[in-house]
Amino acid sequence: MVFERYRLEKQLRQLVERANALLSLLKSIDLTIDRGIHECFILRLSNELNAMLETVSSKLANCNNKDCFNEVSKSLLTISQYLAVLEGEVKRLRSLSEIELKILFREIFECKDQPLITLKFAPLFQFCFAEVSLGGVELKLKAAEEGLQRLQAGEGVHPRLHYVWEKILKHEEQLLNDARKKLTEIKEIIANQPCEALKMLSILTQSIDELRDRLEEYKTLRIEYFSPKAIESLIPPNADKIFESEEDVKRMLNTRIFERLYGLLYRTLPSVEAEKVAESLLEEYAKCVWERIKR
Amino acid sequence: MAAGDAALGRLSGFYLGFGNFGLNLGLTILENCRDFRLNVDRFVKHVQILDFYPGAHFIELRRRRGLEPIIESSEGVTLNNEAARLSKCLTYRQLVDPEKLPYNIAAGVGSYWPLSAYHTRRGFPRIFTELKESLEKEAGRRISDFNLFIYAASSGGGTGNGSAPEFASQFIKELETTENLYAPHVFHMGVTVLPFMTDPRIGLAEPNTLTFFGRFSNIVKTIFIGDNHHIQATKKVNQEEAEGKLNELLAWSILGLFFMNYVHAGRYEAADYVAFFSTEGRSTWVVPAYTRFKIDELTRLLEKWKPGVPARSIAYQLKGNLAAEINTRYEARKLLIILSLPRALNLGGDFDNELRKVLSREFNVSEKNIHVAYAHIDVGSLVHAFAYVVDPFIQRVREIYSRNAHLLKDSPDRRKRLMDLVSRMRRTMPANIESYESDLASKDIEYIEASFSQFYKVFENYLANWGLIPERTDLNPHATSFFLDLLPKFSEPIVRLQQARRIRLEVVYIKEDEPDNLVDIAILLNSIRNFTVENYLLIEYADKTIGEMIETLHSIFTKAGLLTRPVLCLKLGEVYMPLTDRFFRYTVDELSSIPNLTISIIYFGNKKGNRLKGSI
Repeated sequence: MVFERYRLEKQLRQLVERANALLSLLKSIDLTIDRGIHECFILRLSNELNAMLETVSSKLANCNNKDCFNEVSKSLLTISQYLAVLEGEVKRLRSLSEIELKILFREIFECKDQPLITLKFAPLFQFCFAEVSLGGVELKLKAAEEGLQRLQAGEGVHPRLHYVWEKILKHEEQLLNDARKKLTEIKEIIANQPCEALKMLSILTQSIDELRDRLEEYKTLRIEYFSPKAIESLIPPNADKIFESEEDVKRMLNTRIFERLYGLLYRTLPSVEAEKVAESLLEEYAKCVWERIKR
Repeated sequence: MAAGDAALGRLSGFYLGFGNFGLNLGLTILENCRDFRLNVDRFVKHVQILDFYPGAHFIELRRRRGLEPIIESSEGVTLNNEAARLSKCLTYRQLVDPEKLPYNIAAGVGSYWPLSAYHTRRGFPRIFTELKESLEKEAGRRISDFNLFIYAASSGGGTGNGSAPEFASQFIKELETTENLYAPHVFHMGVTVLPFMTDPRIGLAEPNTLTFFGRFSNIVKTIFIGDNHHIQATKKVNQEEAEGKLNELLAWSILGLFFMNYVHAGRYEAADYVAFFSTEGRSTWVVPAYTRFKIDELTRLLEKWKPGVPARSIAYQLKGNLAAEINTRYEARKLLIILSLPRALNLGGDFDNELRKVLSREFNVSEKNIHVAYAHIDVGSLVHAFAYVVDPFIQRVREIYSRNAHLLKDSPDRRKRLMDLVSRMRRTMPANIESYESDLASKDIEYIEASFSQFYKVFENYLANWGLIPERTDLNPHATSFFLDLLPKFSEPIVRLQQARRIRLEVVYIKEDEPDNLVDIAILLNSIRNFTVENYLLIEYADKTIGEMIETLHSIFTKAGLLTRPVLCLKLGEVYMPLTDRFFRYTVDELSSIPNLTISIIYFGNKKGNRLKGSI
């Protein structure tokens, strides 16, 4: 019994060494993929192997009969075979050139039926890719939220136009909420359906990117048309003599701001709606400005 | 009737660029020919730019792209011989003389394209005559030398958008009536780009895109479409770079058609392209793609994997380099692939089968509708691959369509919507149109309405098919894969094939009579020193012979008014030496390795009748 335990422990130690060697070899290969994905993959794989080895190790520590030793021996054999497969795959990965690796990983990440090489690693890579992308999207979403909040705070907006400014951003807030919901949906399926999650993520990334682009433009819009300084330049001295009515102001705003504001809204709404929203916003804008002129 | 190359059945291209995009794309085409050593004469034969800008803008851009033959800078005057050769194929013409107008459109017409169309229509007879004349005078070509006409204009703006369809329609009629140039012997194609989403006037640019397609759709056989927004989103670059990359991609996809001039059997003539790009009653929409790679990369993959992997590599790279986003859930009509391979590489049937299979999967085109053509041409050690996807589902056009659907269909408030649109378009004009062109101002709304209706009529069925699934379910190609970059870096070509050399050059004017022989000339130059000398720096390509170099120089100086043929000398340090006949066969590379060398071009006050050896 003592001898059997000693033999199995030795085998286990050898397997631990093989697993470590495999992991460090994998770490050293340039897989041409993002470092985050690579690290995630190594971590997940090492967790998986460690868990396997630890289960066997604790089982072995509590063994006191022949059946138990036999079971441990069988498990060790399975792990050894699994390691052999993984070692073979690493060997193949090492032999690939940069362009071949790029083709392979493109196919893995697009979940193609027959990739260049069928890998046991593939699902793990897919999961890691989805996880890393998710992290990226979360960061982008957070940045977008912060950007929107800063805009909503209305710093640098003429006090009289605060109300109009908030209304302009209402729509973006709605889109952000939708994105948040979508992200929760993706989180739920990421573990079981990484491929599906990847597809949803790439679409979500685009809409968040577009939203952030728009937020950038709102910043310029704020400076150019909503800041106190801009208002001063829009309303010249003796404005009460130049503009005779609210209509006059609206006409001026139409020529100066309409296209920019409409362009921003147009990117998210069908043009009829965008036009309506832009018009009503300008009406309110005109009202504010006209009140200021009258005073 | 066709003449020149066109009569021989070769493709012979005439590029007509309208507006800013047309100019930039035209220059990119010439630049690519120069950098990749493609003979402009065999590719796009002539580049003609038409715009409202005065020529200064054109010259400035030409200089920035290194296509200006004479550059004056603090270093002195530099003559660029290759640019001089290329600039023969590049001419500029104004659509209208802005000085004759009471308002200023020297900087374009804003987003108000009807004005551009109006001037083009009115001025067409003059533009056509002038164009024909200048073509003959400046480039020595006739209209009938060409059989592939390319009309390039951006779709969202005003100048090109207005003028290109108007010009093309009248130009084609004129070719048919006066030159007897009919389809299918001639092929007319359009090239256009869709606007950036961040365009400050996107709300006008997108409806303008639809009117552009509406007007252009019955005039040309096919329209190559690129999407600026797609390039900007996928490559994560700023607007200027995105524009540059897209221009490069489109320029290559135009040049790609001409690679089939280099095929021994099964050459594609204009009629073949006409047949390929035809559809019932309207232009086809083509999204092109282009990529290139080094030949040793391909052969290594072939040796190791047989055809499977190289075929995948080509297909993936092409898909990654499409000029616009296509949704592959919907089947495209056809796919043409042109592969330019070095003569030494002969790919077999296995490769062909494998390539078709993977292309069919990647682009969603049935295998029987995929045409793969191989052109064997030694362009360095490069393989060029071109894809032309005919009538795919273009995601962006679908989006533009759905955002502006109310402008297309008849409805009670359509008229009011159109009036609003027109008044916004007019606001982007530098002048008040009602007071200057009242006949246009009274009709523009009908013109615009008709263009929208035309678009709707022509593409209704096409778009209805696209409307079946409202939400995008395909993998989004806009999302950059931050781990994977199969895209070649367009701004840095894999190889720059042309190597230029700098040589000192001087032009000498001597009042005396020309001596009888070369030795005497050298003696004369060494003994007297009171002649006028102008110094230049010459840029010439390493592989050109001295003979070729001198011919180009002569043409530059003839233009500058020096009509007599000069005599040549070599100047080593301060000593003049006769330039004998055998020097004419040397290449510039060999000559430039001689230290302290200057080439002297000598003009004598009194030229002898008989030509000396060594004179040019």
